[in-house]
Amino acid sequence: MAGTLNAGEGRRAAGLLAPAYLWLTLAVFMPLSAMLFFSFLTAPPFGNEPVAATLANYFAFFETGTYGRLLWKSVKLGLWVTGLCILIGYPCALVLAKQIRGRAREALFLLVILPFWSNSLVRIFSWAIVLRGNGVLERALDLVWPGDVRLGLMFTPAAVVIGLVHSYLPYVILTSYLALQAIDDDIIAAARSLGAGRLTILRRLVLPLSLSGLLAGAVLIFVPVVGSFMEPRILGGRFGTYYGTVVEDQFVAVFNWPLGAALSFILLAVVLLILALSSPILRKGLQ
Amino acid sequence: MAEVSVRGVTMRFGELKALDDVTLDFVDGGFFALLGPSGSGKTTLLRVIAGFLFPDEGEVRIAGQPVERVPVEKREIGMMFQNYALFPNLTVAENVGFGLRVRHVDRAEERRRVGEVLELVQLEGLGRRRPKELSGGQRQRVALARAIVTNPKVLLLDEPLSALDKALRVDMQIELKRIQREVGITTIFVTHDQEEALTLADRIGILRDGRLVQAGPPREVYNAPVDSFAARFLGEANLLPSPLPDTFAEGARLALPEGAAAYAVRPEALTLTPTPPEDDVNALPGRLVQRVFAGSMATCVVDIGGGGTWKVIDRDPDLPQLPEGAAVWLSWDAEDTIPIGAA
Ligand SMILES: Nc1ncnc2c1ncn2[C@@H]1O[C@H](COP(=O)(O)OP(=O)(O)O)[C@@H](O)[C@H]1O
Ligand SMILES: [Mg+2]
Repeated sequence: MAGTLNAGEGRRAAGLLAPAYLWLTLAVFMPLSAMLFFSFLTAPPFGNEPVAATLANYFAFFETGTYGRLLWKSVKLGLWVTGLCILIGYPCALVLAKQIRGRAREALFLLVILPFWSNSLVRIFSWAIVLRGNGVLERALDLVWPGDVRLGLMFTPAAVVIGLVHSYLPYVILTSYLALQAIDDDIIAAARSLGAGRLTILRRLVLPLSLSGLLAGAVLIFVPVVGSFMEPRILGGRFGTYYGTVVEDQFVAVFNWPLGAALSFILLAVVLLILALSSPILRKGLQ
Repeated sequence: MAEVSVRGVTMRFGELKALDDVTLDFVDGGFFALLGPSGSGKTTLLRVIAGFLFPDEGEVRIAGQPVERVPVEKREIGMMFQNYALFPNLTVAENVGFGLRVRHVDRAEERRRVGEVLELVQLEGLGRRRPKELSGGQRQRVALARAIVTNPKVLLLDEPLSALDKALRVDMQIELKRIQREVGITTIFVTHDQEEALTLADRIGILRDGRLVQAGPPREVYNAPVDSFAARFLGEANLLPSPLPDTFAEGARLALPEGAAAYAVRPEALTLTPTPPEDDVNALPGRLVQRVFAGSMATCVVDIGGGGTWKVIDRDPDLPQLPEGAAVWLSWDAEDTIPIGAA
């Protein structure tokens, strides 16, 4: 397309696109470059200490095993949350897209999107109220279950996973729903007329045809979950130390911005590496 | 291959009766065209026969077996959809082989039969392509191949040619007829195009508002329509009410048989002349409203005083050019009067 524009049109297009590029520069590249700059300093540039350039912040990651272990813990958390979101969200999207029609669909859709509209802190503290000892969940179970119920979910990795799954579930539901919606009902009807049962149709047609949406949702979940810190901190208690919380500490508690920045860029690199390594597999799945 | 029969089938969608007490027989190996305007229930009837819908009342039999509660997966039918509904993630060969894979036919046998049927629809060598790499006509053939490869008992087609352009459609009609003859499969074909129905079918049925108006061989329905709807739906027809109103075409010379509710005259049975005809035939005076040439013939519209406008197909376009608005006579032989219904 760009090749077919003449000079005048090119200038106009550039003019029209300028605000977008400006916004991108201000909102994405400036903060990122500032952080990249910080990550090579010995101290934040606005303190009293003298500032020099160094690679020490990056080496710090490799000096102890702690950061690596925490990163692996966070990656595992990301895999768990992404996996659970897919297991719960994809069937929901399937039912929403292919079984339910009309009004009921709109109502359910609203329920799916509702978590998006509430403040994430409110959401997380609500879970704390539900999950804590003698909290809403245990009392409710007490009513229906004979004997004393002690789930002890609060301040466990399970609580972190529950909170994160709840926050990120809408992504996979929405992206899968859009992909499933695009599958023509006649395709499923044609498969049925050829004698295919539900499982065959799911495995050979519906899943491959909606895989792009499912994977988009998975990436949208995995990336932020690996770096998450709020849910681990509030719901995880003494199990709540993750890579994200350590990075956050560098910024808000220890005021070691350069180390925080370096750790963030290592996280970014690792996440990009994971996505790059898995993309051939994903692309094959999309064929 | 099998005969199909539908007895007293009623299908409701809420208040609406999409099918109302439809009884029809489809003979083994026959090519049946279901005709009707949009919304008349053609697709619904096809879906009841296929098993996508279970009728509220009535019976559906395939090869003598009652199947009205058997789901589509178990009915052994082949179906072709209006937009082809090919599986976009599979190759042509995988599309065609889908039904065989579902039936656990072994791979070598699958390859052999897919190859055979691709040859039948003249697509040999395209097995590795994906649907989006095919033209409309080729997709059409893949859909047909996929529907017949499992040797279904009946082939159901829902307006399969309506997405093609005119020239390709005529080619595909001939092709479809050839393949149907070759395979000998009982075929039920939905269309709203009467010409298509006449080209393809050995029997037709006309639906209107969920009711079967008439069924039979095309000639029979054409020559003896049971009512004015059937007369007008299959081919065009000029209608004469019975009894004729007093104001009807002053000066008309008509000898109509007794005891019919109405009469129809086909446009091609009419002769257009500038003067009253001499022979002892039916004749109506009128005024020429329009005359359109289409190659070997002209289509004329004639205003009959008190009787609306009539359509005439004039196969003698050498006739002296009559100006629009000229006084003309329409005449036809007595045997071309089609009595409709009983009075
Ligand atoms: N699933 C459905 N729910 C409600 N009404 C329907 C449904 N399918 C068809 N109809 C109605 O039934 C009538 C017949 O439809 P259809 O069989 O599709 O007609 P045709 O194929 O002859 O155009 C129409 O009035 C249509 O609106
Ligand atoms: Mg239809």
